[in-house]
Amino acid sequence: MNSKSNALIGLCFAAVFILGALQGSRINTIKKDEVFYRWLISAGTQIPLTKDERIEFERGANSGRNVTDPMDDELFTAIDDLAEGYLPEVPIDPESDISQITGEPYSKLIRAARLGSAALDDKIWEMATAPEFAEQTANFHTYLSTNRLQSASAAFSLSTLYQGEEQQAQGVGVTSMFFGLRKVAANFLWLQVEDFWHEGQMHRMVPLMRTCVALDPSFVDAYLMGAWHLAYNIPAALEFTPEELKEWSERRQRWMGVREHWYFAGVDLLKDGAWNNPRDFRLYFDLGYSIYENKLEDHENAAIYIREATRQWHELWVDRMYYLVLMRNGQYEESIEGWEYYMHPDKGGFPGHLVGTRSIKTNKAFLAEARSEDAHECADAARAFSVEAAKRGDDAEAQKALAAAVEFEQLAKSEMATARTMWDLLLGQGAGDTLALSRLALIDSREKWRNGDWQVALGDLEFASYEAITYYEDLSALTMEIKLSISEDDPGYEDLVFTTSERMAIERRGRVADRKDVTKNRIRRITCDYIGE
Amino acid sequence: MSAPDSLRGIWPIAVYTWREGIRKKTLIGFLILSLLVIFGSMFMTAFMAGIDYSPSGEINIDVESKLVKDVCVSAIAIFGVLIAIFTSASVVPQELENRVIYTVLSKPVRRYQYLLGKFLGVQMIVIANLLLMSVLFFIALWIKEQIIPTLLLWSTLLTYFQFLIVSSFTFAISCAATSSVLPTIAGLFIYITGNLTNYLNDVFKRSSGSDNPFESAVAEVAFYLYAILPNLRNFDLKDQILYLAPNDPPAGILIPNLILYGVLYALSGYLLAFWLFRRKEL
Amino acid sequence: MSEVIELEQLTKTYESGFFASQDVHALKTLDLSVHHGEIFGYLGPNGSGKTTTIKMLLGLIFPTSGTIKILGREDIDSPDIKQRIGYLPEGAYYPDFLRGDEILRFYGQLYQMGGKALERRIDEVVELVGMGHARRRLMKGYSKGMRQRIGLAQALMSDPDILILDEPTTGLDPLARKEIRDILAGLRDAGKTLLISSHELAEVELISDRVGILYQGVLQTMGTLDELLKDRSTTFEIENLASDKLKALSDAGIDAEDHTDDRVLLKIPASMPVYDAIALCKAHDAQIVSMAPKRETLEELFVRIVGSAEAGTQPETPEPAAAG
Repeated sequence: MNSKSNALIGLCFAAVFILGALQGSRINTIKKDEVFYRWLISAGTQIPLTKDERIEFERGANSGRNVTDPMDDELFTAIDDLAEGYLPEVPIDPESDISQITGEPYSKLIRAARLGSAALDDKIWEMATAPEFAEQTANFHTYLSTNRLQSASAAFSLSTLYQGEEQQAQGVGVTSMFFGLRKVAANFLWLQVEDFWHEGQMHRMVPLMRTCVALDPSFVDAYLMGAWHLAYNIPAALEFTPEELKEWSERRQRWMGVREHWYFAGVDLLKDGAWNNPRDFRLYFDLGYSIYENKLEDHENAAIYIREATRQWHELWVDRMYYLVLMRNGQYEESIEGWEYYMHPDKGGFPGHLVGTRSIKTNKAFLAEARSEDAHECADAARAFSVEAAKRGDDAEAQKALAAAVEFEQLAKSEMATARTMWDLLLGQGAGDTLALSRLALIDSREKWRNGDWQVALGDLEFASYEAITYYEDLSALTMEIKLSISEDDPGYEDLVFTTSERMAIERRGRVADRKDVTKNRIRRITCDYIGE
Repeated sequence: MSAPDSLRGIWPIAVYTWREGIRKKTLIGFLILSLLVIFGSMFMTAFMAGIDYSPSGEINIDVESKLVKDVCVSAIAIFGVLIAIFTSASVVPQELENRVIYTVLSKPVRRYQYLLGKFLGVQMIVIANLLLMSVLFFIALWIKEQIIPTLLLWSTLLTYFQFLIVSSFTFAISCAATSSVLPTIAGLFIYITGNLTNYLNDVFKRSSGSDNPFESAVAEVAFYLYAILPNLRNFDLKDQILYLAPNDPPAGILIPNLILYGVLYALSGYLLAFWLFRRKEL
Repeated sequence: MSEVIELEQLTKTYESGFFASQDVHALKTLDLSVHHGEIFGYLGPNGSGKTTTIKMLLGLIFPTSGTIKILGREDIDSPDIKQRIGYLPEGAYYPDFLRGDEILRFYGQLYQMGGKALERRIDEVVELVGMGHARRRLMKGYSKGMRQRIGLAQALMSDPDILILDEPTTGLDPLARKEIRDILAGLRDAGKTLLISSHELAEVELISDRVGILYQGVLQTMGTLDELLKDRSTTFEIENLASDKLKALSDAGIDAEDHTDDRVLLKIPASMPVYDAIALCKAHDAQIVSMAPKRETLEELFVRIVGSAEAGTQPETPEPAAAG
């Protein structure tokens, strides 16, 4: 009797214990799905930010294992196709949801992942656990455990974030040995990083920084501060690399000096951070503004990343910086639109915002200048076409092109007049608006040069470069352009005097003349048939 | 009386256990230590030299508050589990030692009721300590940055279920033991093992498929242990809870599942305790 | 019905050593019964198996074989049997941080008492054990006697029919012993049945109606004190007795029980008429200083039983009376 009930209780214990274990395996399944879900969210958010709209490989300079035969994109595409029929309608943001490559909107999955709304997140989660996606989920985990996902292979990505379930195919999940003190360890490592910084031991900071974010991949401040050290403080202690000593990097599509390597180290760190924390605006903002804009002067990428920052929950200054970067990237219309929205009283904006008011004017002036430039190009092209046509004996065509050229010249002139008015207005409004001053000087000098008064133009430019030293480079560039052109073309001015710095600049330019130009984003607003590809 | 027969005496025993437990010196010691860490963490960042060098003051304040949060959450977890282990390991052996158990069990109280009362009392102590530490942590946070992170409450709740598993198995072992030394060591061992369960999975992955029969046997054992042992790391949702967006579907699914997980293992722990204690010669 | 506790062939064997290779017999085929309304003294040296028996009665440990009946029932673990038993363990501890009546309230709640009934009962038992003046004091300030009285009070909470007391007077001062003894006698008079285990024989002798003597797990003897202590003798105190005379007396059947330099204590067996003994002494020139009748004490009986049990012989005691 007693042994019977004893056995019964023993059985009960075993049964409940097994139930616990079953629940444990259920939790493991959920956690596996969670890894998949987070991968989908990260991939969906990051893909539109990359140049080739693929899951960007080799994130992180020290990104650990080399993945041969990566399956990231193939897998994502397969899931993407399935998701098209599975997900509900996802609104399309015309500003940022259009692919630069295909011109079509991004897929539903990408849009949903980027949007980050609670309902869509729930839907993606449902998708990650749905039987329809079982095959893809299984593939994902197979690739993960056989080390074929580059997006998960960086030393501090998913593999450490989720405490090594499937990810630790090759190694032992060291992070599980910290007994929940992993994050505390990361904090104390960070204090050590700070110490190294103040001791000037910068070379020791980098590995520690990486360990730090490996231990706690959601330590956003570590990414931010780390990238700041990498892109600002370390390069500041290094020499400039002379232009001709820079090396071309296929991966970065850029000529790289010593400092650039550090800038990109910062980029990589922030990209890792963004992959691990895809919904934190600070990472996108620092990536865009602090590094791409300020350090690399890559306005296009800067605009892309800051736009992503504005899509997430963000603070107000992010918007303002976004409009500024849009302007620098030549996207004047968008910048104006942004500012108008920012200042719109009905949309909770700030009517009469001083910087906004000025920025709209500045943008308008730049826009007019750009249109004028486009019109000039069209006029030039039309003239050239007219000459060609005349040579061919096609007079009708030649006449037509000539007429077009005159029209374009008129347009260019009127646009330039608009720009002038705008700059004048700005110059009159704010005492010492050096931007307006320099732009006016550039416009006037160009016009004087065109009219033959190049000496006056040079004088104006020199004067302006004292007044608006911030824009010295633009002014000096025109000075050199004029001087070079005159000394080459106008007889009697062969030995026109160049200053030492001008000579050096010209020489430097000559040494790197054969280099690919990392061009600035060129948006053509006025088009004509005379300009070919 | 109004209480059903089977609940006879459970509550007074629980209250008695609680009243006795909260007076323990080890417990008070751990509590004081944890409070030192919680409030001490506020000053830890003072060691971060040269705060004025940062690009914007904001970031450093964020790092500081993150440090306070991480240190406090970990301190609560570690000291809380120590309190849970020491309490659950000692309540029954201590009564055996001072013979209170004889007077209690000679009353019309069945053994499972006695155990339930004791277990309940232990949980009351553990919960009270957890609440106390959490409240002080929130006060510390409030002093630091005037916010009450409601999401941290979830983390605290999950931490409790982690304690519950460790506590129930420690309690079970204490029911078979005659002194509290062995169950205390066992409790620490359970905590450590529960934290290293993932490691068993690694062992399995590395050793399985090996030609060496010994290695594949090890892999087999590791696999089954991994499958059945409670994995305490599962309760560590801090990443998701503390730093991710408020709407996080996986966390939403995981929290109730983890609670069920904790309750199931705790129930099996209690059954084991009863099984060991039912025919124990006192 | 008069059998309150009935033990039949009760055996308890502990396994010890590696792989339970050795058996330790704590109790061997014990037959014992306690009648209604009596004080039963359960005697034996330390380690003889008294506490083992009591723990089995209370279901704290389980018999290897044999049966236990309490109030005629075998399901001794059931709450309604336990309701009727009060138990005072040996050297029990009561937490320092509680007050006297808080402890009683706790134990009362275990009996499912509550509300006014509980408070009334606490008042009663506190008065009964004479702790009315100290009931609101913390246990910390209690003397050993006060603690024992609170222990007794908790055993009495449910107004039980059976009281099982393990060494109730051990370690107390004479006054406290007397008080406890009086309380116990009073309880007996109120119709309770008491089982008192002790190794302090003089105490038990004073109040027990019947005793059982346990040694090495075997009940050596059991019966009323009158039955057990039949051995009555007389002692003569003799002055200046020569050693040859002593031998002669010894040959005549009078042994010396004890002797100092000039005095000898002679033990006159019960079988010898006192006048014959006086005559014998006179014949041997033994100067009688004093003479005293002597009834064997429980202690002497105990020593004798234990002694003979150790020697492996049957004790010379009268057969215990058949259970009434």
